[in-house]
Amino acid sequence: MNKNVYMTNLRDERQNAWEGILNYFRKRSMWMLYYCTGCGAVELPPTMTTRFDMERFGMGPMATPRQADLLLITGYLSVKTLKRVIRSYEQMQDPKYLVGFGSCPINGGIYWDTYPVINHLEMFLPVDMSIAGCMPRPQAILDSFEKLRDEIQEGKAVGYKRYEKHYDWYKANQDKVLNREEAILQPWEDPFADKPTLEALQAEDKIEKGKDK
Amino acid sequence: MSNINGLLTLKLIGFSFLSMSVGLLFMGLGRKVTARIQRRLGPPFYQAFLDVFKAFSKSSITHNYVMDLGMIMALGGLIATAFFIPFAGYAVLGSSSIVIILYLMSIGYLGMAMGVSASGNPNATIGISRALALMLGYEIPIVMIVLAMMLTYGSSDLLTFATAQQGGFANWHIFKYPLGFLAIEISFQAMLGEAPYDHMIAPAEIASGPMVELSGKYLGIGFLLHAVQLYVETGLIVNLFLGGASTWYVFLLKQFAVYFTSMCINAVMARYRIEQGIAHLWKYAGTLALLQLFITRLGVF
Amino acid sequence: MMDFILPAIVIGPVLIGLLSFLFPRKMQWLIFFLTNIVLLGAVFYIRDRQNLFFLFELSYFPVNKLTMGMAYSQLGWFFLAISTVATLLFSAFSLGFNDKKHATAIAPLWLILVGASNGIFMAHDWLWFFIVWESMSWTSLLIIGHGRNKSFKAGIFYYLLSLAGTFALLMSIWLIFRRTGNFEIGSGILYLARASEGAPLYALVVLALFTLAFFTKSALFPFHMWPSLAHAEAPDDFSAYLSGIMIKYGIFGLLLVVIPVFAASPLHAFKAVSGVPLPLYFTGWISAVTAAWGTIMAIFSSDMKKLMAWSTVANVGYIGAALSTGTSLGYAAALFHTANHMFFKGAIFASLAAVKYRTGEREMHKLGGLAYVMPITFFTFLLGIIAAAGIPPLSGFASKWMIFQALFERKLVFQSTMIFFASTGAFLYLFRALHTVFLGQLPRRFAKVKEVGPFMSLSMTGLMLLMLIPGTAPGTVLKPVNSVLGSLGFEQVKTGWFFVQGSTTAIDGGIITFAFVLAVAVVFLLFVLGGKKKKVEMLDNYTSGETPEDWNLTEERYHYGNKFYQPIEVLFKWVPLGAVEEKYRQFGKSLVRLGNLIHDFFQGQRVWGWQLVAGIALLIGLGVM
Repeated sequence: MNKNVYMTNLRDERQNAWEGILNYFRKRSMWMLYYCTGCGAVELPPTMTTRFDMERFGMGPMATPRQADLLLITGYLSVKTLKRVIRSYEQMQDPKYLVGFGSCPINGGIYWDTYPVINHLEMFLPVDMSIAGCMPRPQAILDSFEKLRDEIQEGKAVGYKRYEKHYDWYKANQDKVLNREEAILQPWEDPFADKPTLEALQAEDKIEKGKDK
Repeated sequence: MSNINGLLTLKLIGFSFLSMSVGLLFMGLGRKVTARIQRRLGPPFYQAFLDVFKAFSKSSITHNYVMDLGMIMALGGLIATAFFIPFAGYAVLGSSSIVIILYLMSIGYLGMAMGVSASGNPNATIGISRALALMLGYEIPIVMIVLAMMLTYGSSDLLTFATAQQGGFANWHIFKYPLGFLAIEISFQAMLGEAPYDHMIAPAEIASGPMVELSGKYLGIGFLLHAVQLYVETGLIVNLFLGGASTWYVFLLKQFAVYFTSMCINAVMARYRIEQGIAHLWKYAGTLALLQLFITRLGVF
Repeated sequence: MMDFILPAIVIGPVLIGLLSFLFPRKMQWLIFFLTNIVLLGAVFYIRDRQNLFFLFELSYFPVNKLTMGMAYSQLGWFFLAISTVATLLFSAFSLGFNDKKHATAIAPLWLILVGASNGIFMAHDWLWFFIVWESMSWTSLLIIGHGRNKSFKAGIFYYLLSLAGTFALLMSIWLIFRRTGNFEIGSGILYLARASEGAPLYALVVLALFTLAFFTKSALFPFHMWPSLAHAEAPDDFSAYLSGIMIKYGIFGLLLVVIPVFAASPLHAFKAVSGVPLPLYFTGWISAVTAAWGTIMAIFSSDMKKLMAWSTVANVGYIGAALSTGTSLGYAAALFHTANHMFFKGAIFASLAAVKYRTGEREMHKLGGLAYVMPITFFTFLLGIIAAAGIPPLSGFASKWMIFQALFERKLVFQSTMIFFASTGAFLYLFRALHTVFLGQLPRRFAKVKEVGPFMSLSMTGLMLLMLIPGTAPGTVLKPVNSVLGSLGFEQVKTGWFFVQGSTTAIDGGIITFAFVLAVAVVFLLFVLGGKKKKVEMLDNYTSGETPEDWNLTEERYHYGNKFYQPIEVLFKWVPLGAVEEKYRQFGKSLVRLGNLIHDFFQGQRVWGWQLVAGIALLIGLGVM
């Protein structure tokens, strides 16, 4: 089992012509479900309303994970909310994309040394796009969605396939935090402690260097 | 029964795609209208087509066979209703009895209700319960208007009503039955589930009600359902009040005019509480329709 | 032509019923089923044999030679045929239903009831009509009671109301007999029609008494509450018979007597409102009110059998409204809807009995999700409610459409509005029953419930076919209806197998079914072409991200069933819906008080004082005089 799935390159599957056509529709019609765990959600209303008008790109909010294509994690994740996020993500239907919003899902942000906070979302769920910033401005959000659209068209945003393929690894990580019983007053262990080299990764996934951005 | 043949079958298949496409086009344009009212750019006018295509391409979940059956029955029933709506003065089945239309529409609603409540989510059922309760509010005014017209013409055929209005604006029923037109405009808003009667789909309150468990192609069918519903209901009003039409583009234009009005109201209204909504429908639409029926019964017009 | 086949149809079941008391219970139900098969053959054997009769001579009557007995009539045969088909299906259902655990001892009584019922439909004269009418009443009382205290109370209430109706019937028969000197139904009708010009008050009183008798039986306003008690408390498999067939005796009576009188009476005998004689206009409004009232009560019921009993009341209201137009179209619509209601309400009650057979539960909100484990029952119920809501392409639509055509013909727009209201409301309560019993979450304690056995399934399948066929091809029922109309001298309805001509437009059941099937086929194609689907568990549901186990979420708690239409209940808070029941209750209380007073007068402590006062008063009175 690959211990460091979160680092693998996204382009692990070739798309055929039909997939390419479907991807065109997928990128033009993205329905979001935003998981407002933290402060990041405050930047979404201006992105959606008159000033920036996200609906231009066919993006809009949806009420339940069943209907949505895009899950936005808008802020820090505690152990408690992680459980809900995982359930919501699993209830979404393929193809689905996960976007980490702000620095908290990337490295814990300003809460990085707090015990109930998850520092690295990509250890538990496949993140297709991360938007850095505390918090990211509407311009940054729109820019990153633009990038996500490009990746969808190119067939690179296939986090859901990665999740399916490496489910055991993700599941083990999830269980490690969700099922722990002893009280811990330190932040959860640093996942980068045994960070593999790029060469090892490439050897494992048989990916040519040239296609890696 | 005797006129069923291959040509009719082809025509009906054509009509089923026509009704879906017209509805989807209107949905896209409607979003554009709402966006412009909110001073936004809005999505492209063909956005609804993209949405439906994408929804059908996604994977989906089902809870049991009743859910599949219900969704198929819903869209099938509504498309069957669309066959009975005269399109630009042409009734494809040779019959456009308004009683059939009113009752056949219910099979669509029943299918939808059945499909979504089979998902087992209480939010869906609450949405359906609200929609049905509201139905008690808007169906009665509509029926009263139809009865008033039936009194005048001695026929319950939609095409008869439409052809009776030919020859200029002055013959339109909108001027002959002004109270009735107001009543039906109010009811139409409730029929489509647009504000202020959008209790059924209250995203922040009951998680979009009936659609809560719909994913992938089920949601796509849900969108198509709304599209065909738009086609049927705007077609109904155009034939009843706006003089029908003899050419297809005039008919479509009139249909869109009806939907445009509805979207403008939708964009600026807040939501009633459910029992307020029903009471409001009875109080205003019901009274107006009853007055219209009385006036027609007494033979003033 | 004197023939023994009529007494065989009428008295035969009674005798077999009496005999079958001797057999063990299991055998009784088999005898019941077999007798019904034979009956069906006999009924179709006598079809169109116009001159069939069987009369006794009552030589001991001093006045003039009187005869009593049975005779074939086209109207009677129509009722006989549909009720026999329905009874056969119900008896097949009962054969499966009455196993060791659920057996009741009502089979012999039910057979007697079937005989009495056939007797009503084949009656030649009032005397016979009254005798079988009365035997039908008490037999049904015993069946509804079936040895349970609560049921017996409901039965008593039902019987008291029917007793009032029976008195009215007796009175009207006597009034006719006094004038005409014989008991024949046909001549009585002609006499009444003639009397409506010469002695309108007499004719009106007789007709009112008849109407009262038939209204109590058919539960029209203000006798609308007994089905909710009797149908709900009756044995589960019998409810179908009670609601499908027995509620129609009143309709049969109205069709037999009241409408022909109005049709045969001279043109300007009664004042008319938009072409309808005033008394009929009045009954039309009563029927429309019944339909609306039954609908609202059904929306508020939480007991599934009560809900369907109220729905029956509403449907009788539709039939009454169609009848009250007095036109041939109305007459045909009433007959058509009678037949359809018999089958769809039978199907609904049969499927509810199947549910109760497997779960033992009657409160709707305690059930749920049974469609996933009992598919045949579910489809029977589904088709039943589609027909009951009048949705094409099932049978209920065709007959409801005809009812509206009859109302439009007379331009009765306000009654039509009321009926439309009831019809929309029907959709509400029927869906509620469908959801709370068959859809939503399946409680875990019912997860191992199985589909019912072969007899019940076959019976329900038969009922499904009987709902589907008249919807697509209304001619299957309307052609016999036309022969009834012809025999009574009414104008016939223009109909083919698929096509029906109404007053304002025509429908073609075949075209509607074709359009629907084609549209469903197109959608099915789209559905198949769409992305792949995956089946998930019922509790794998949108729960705002919460895991069900974490907050002890069970299927029962995630099922929305109780207080389903609360917004409407809030709206109707000011309507005194129980007012009529309250009046009856007060009447009963004052009767008891009066009885107590009399009791006290003769046996109480103050008896001496009262007698003293009375004696003094008497003396003073005599002295004054």
